[in-house]
Amino acid sequence: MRLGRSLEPRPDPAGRGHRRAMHVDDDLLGAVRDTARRFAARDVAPMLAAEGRDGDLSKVPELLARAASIGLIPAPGAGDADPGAGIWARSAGPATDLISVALVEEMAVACAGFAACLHHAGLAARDLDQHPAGRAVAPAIALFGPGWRPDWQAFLHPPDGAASLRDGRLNGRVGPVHAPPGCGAFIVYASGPGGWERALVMRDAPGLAATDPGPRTGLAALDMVFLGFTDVGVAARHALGPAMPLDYLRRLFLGLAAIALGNARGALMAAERYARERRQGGRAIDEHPAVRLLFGDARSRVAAAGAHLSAAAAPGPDAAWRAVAARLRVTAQCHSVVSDCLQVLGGYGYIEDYRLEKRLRDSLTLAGSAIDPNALRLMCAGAPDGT
Amino acid sequence: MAGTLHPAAAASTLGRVARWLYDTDIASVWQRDTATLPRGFRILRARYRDFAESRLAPLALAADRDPAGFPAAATFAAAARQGFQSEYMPWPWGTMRLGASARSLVLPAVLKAEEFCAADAGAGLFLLAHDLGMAPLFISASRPAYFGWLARIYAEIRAGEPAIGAFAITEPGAGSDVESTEGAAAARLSCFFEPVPGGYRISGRKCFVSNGGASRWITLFAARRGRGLESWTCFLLDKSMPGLSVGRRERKMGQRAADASELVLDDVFVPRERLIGKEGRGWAINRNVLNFSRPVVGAIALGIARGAFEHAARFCAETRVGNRRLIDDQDVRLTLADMLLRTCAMRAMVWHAARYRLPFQAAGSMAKVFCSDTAWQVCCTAMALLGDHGYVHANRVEKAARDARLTQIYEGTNDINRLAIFESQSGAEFPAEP
Repeated sequence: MRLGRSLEPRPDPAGRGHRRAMHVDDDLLGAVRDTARRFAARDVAPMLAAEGRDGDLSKVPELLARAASIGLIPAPGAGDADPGAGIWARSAGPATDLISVALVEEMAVACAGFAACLHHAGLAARDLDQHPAGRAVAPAIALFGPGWRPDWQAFLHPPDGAASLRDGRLNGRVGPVHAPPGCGAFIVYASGPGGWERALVMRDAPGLAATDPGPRTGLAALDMVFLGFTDVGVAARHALGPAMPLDYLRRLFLGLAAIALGNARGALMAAERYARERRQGGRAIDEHPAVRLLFGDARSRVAAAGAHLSAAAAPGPDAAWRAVAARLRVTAQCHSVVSDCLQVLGGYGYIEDYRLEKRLRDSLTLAGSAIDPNALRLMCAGAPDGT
Repeated sequence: MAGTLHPAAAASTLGRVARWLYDTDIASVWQRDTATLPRGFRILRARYRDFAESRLAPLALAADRDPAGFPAAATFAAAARQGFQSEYMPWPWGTMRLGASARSLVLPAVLKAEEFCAADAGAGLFLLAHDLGMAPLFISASRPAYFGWLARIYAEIRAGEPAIGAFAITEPGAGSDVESTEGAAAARLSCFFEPVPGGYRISGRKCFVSNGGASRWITLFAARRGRGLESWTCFLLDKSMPGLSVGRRERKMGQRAADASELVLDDVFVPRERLIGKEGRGWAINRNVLNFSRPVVGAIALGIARGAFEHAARFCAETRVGNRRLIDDQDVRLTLADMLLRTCAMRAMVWHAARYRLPFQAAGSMAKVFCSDTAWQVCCTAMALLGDHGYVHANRVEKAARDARLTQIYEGTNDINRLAIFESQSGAEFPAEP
């Protein structure tokens, strides 16, 4: 199945009010999830079955291309026949968030790292929507900088420490930037004369220094770089105009929460399977009250996280605030689920064989990704007008 | 104005006696805690820390990335030269400090575990697992085991040989069963011995053996064929024995410098003199070894958490956001303070458990559970505090988190230990119904 225009939300037959008009029916979301599940089972699972700490990561670029070919990532190039209705595609209309969250979550059930690749590729494709550079450059978005700590004001007005774009010249530091493998350019959010602006910078641009910080805990399918710009020239056709960091923030956070949820669901499924099949103390592991307590807790946390995320992704007011809250709470809930599931496997959970340790590493990485939880808490405490 | 409100400035306005009663010294928690120890332990703690910082910390990241490249023999030899690998026997056989050990048998081990694991839990586990392997020779109180085998192994260590020890109890189908009373009754064992003329023959497998690959000497527990854990017996094996081989080395998430390997026993002949204690005494020896080792696991967790705190605090002090240091943000200080107080609570718990004349089940398990759960929280907090820098290997806190997670699993999972706490205390606190 190819995801395409068929996934645009259907008119609500009841036609009851604004929220109802944005309603995405369960059949539609079910179809989206089925597509992601089939792709995960057929294409992603073999990558993970390979030996190695995170599976065969050399297959990720090929998998990304295959995902794009069936519309899981929108095709951003001008003249592309079908911009797709994949992750964060504009053509999905007001249902974009719900569809994207469902796709990312289902993919993360199989592999959080690959889901993160799709998520970041989708975010960048949306930002580059219909630009002549198109898909050829496979960009990644560069917003957060080492010299500033995010808060609401920083997303409305560029803070001190943000990269600077003046007179077609880009300066400053940005990072870390999460980029799918093969990323050929960066969409840099920088402080311009009118506030936040965007510039497309090729990876090999003179004056751009990309530093790889070295090994990381998890989400290994995704590349990570720190960028330094020293008087990098930005051609007029690569000046993408005003940036809307809050929109990016909302989508970024919903996706990160969806990855955490999918990862936790995958961990729970793996732990429950193990507990049914293995015996301890003369009975199946899942018959032990201690394990049942743990599973009961984990299931309820997953259910709560799913409900929270669905509510956060629904159209309506305070969308950015809801995304921040979901990023904070869903990620934390799901992290504890993954850790508890690893505990069920005991020593076997701690070694690579059952991939629970990979899920925990991915979960640890998600916890601090983009913004630390303290900054999220401070943002949750209140949002100024305009957010 | 603010300067005069600082405690030190305020104290200076007091009279001499009042100033004496008001401690405003600038001293680290480490210094203050060390000062509470008897002199022998104070010296010991400083020596453990010096060794850990000079020998273990520099190797930590490389050993984590490439465990096969960890210089196990050289590290063991360096620790042995300091006298840290032969602490179950006094001079002239070993390096036990009789005066200190008379106060507490476990305190030296927990001090060592904290310092080593604050530097690198992988290397720390490697060095400590040797002590665990030697523990049955001490705890069995068997004269031949102690003055015969342990003295011989310590002589090898004094001679500079890598006479590394390991402790093998876990079996593929009976992980938690060999660590609890409830599971033991129905354990599905797979490692058995049979008496033969002159000794025993052992067949089966052991898994998750820390130092299983690196060790020369292994204390191994096996049941008599056809019987259960009540027949468990402890043997001292060495790698030269025909039929004993090392299986797969597990690919662990953390504490990677120490190997966790499978041991395969194919009709291994073990001479009678390698019996530790008597036949059928293995279960009791094992349970008491766990009483001794669980406070040490608590100390491992404490060391890991302390390391994570120190790395996080250093990062926040060195990182500037705009025109200020990250550590100057109030929310960062609150978080760091929370991490510090948790590590202090862990240390209080571990030292309390270690100050009993003899370790016992509830005390050991409580220290293990509390510290391992808390260490995991502290390390996750450290990672989250550093945001995107938290999961970068070079910043060390992510390694601490991966290392900490194992402490909730080995030496009995924390749920097994919770049951052990209740089992140990129930007789005293909740007598059985008449």
